[in-house]
Amino acid sequence: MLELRNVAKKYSIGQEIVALDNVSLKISEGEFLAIKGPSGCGKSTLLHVLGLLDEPDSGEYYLDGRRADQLSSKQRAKWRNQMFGFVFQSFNLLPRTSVLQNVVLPLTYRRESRRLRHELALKAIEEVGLSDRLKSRPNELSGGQQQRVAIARALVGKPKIILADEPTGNLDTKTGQEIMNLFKKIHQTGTTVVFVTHNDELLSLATRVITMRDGKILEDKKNAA
Amino acid sequence: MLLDSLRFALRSLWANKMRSFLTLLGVIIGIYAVVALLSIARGVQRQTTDIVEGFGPTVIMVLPGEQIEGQQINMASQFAPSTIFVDDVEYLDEKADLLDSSGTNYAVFVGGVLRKGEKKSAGFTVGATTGFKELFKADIVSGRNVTQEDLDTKARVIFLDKKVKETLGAELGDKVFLGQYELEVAGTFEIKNASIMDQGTNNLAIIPATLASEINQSKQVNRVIVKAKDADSVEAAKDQITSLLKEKHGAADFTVMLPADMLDMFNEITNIMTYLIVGIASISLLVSGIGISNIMLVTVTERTKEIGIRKAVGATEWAIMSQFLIESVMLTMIGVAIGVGLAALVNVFLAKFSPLQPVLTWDTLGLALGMGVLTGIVFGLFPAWRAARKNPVEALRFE
Repeated sequence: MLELRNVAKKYSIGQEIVALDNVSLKISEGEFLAIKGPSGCGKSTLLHVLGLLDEPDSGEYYLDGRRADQLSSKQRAKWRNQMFGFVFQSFNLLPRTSVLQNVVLPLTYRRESRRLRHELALKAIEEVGLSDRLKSRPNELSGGQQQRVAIARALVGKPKIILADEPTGNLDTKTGQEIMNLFKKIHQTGTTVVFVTHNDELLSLATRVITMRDGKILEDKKNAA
Repeated sequence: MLLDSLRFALRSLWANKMRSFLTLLGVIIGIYAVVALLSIARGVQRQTTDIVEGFGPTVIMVLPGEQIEGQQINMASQFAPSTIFVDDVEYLDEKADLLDSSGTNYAVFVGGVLRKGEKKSAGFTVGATTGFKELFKADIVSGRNVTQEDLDTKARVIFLDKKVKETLGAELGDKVFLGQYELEVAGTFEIKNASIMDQGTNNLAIIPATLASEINQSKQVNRVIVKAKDADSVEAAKDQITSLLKEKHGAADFTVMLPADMLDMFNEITNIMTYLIVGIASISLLVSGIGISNIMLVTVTERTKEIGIRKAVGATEWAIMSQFLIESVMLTMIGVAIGVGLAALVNVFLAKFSPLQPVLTWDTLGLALGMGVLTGIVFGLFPAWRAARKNPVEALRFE
């Protein structure tokens, strides 16, 4: 479903950093893929490129068989909206905005009726078990709850792929486990999940683990389910 | 989508109430100035129109000196000795058959100051004929109007406007002096439709026109006021007067006018005033617009992360741009609302406690609204564009 061919990406922050060094990668539908590696190995960049948040300098990217590396910014936004759901380490919820409004956000960039948007958001919030906190603001929630809201926001548009960048990085072990179980549940409903982590315990959940270093894929290993 | 944007915009403006308000002050002042001044101009226009229309559609006026259309008013002709004389009035009475039989009225300006004991009034003293009351829509408060007998006998009488009467402390039957002439107060009156542009009518004192000629030691006439038989024959009557007087004087040393012509002239002046007001207010909006740009740039920077989040969930550049544009336009719209509200409030007070009768018209409101929206768009454009162009990955990393 996702395919990168010789994708390269460089940054120059003072000095030139090679974030992706001719990476080729194929991800099939229904995979639960973990990307691990030391910080600065390019795993976040890989996730951003996959999620159309960042553009590669060279190489080809195919999404559902269509070229995705040469899209206009408008098309990229549209595909981001419809194909992907992002979950971040630092939750990235809108402050001063209720749980419901946060979850509804991706749908406001679609042409759907207000009622349908509302319904879908309520359903997504129910799935993460926060139906009793609809009106709460992010600062009134615990870290685990905030990440649940973020997951609901990622799910609400019924994306094909959930991209999570160290989703448990800011949480204690127990809450992290709960969040990972949630991802597992999401994966079981047929959604492709790609997540970045350097927590070894979480890797056992994945069906496939990719290890990266210096912008290259070192190891690509399938886990026994 | 739009509703959501509006709500978000309002919420973020509200989150920074003080900052929003301070930014708005310039817009409020600018819009207030436009609306308040235009209301006054429109009010004066309306009052003047009422007065002119009050003359009725058949009135024709003759002024000394020739006025040339398209050139500035020949002011000197209004201050120099008049080119029109009492015999011109009689001539018109006799020859102009298109005029109403009620007769020709005329006015003679008298320069003297009124005095009663120690009290003086530098009002506007006019020698008038019997038609004065009807022309100015004057209400006789006490006593009577100028009569034909007054004119025939050059009666030593005077009729005082309410204000002059108060200034002098004169009552009906009292004696007042105009120069060395001792006159008896035979009537007092009030002019309902007095406009501030027409200060003369506020301090008016009337004496018989024939007496005025005697005081001036001249048969000069400053205004001749006649009436056409009906509204349809006004233009024909005007032409007849023009040709009759031209023939008699040998040149056009006078101007025949319809009140509507005067109105056109007056409206031209107020329109120039309008452009001036809008021009000045534009400067204030320009200055406040720069403030809006500034504050929107700050807002965009503060909300870099939010922009990143929105882009990550699929907001297009246009969606981000319109969100911030809506916010800056909403900011100026609030300014417009406050400015207009303030002006409307002041209008009410002015109407109550001053001779001004400001009128807030739809075109003024439209102009204020238009200027507000334009300011919001023009000065919100650059910050909104900056927001839209932000790189989502970098924006998300922003703390």
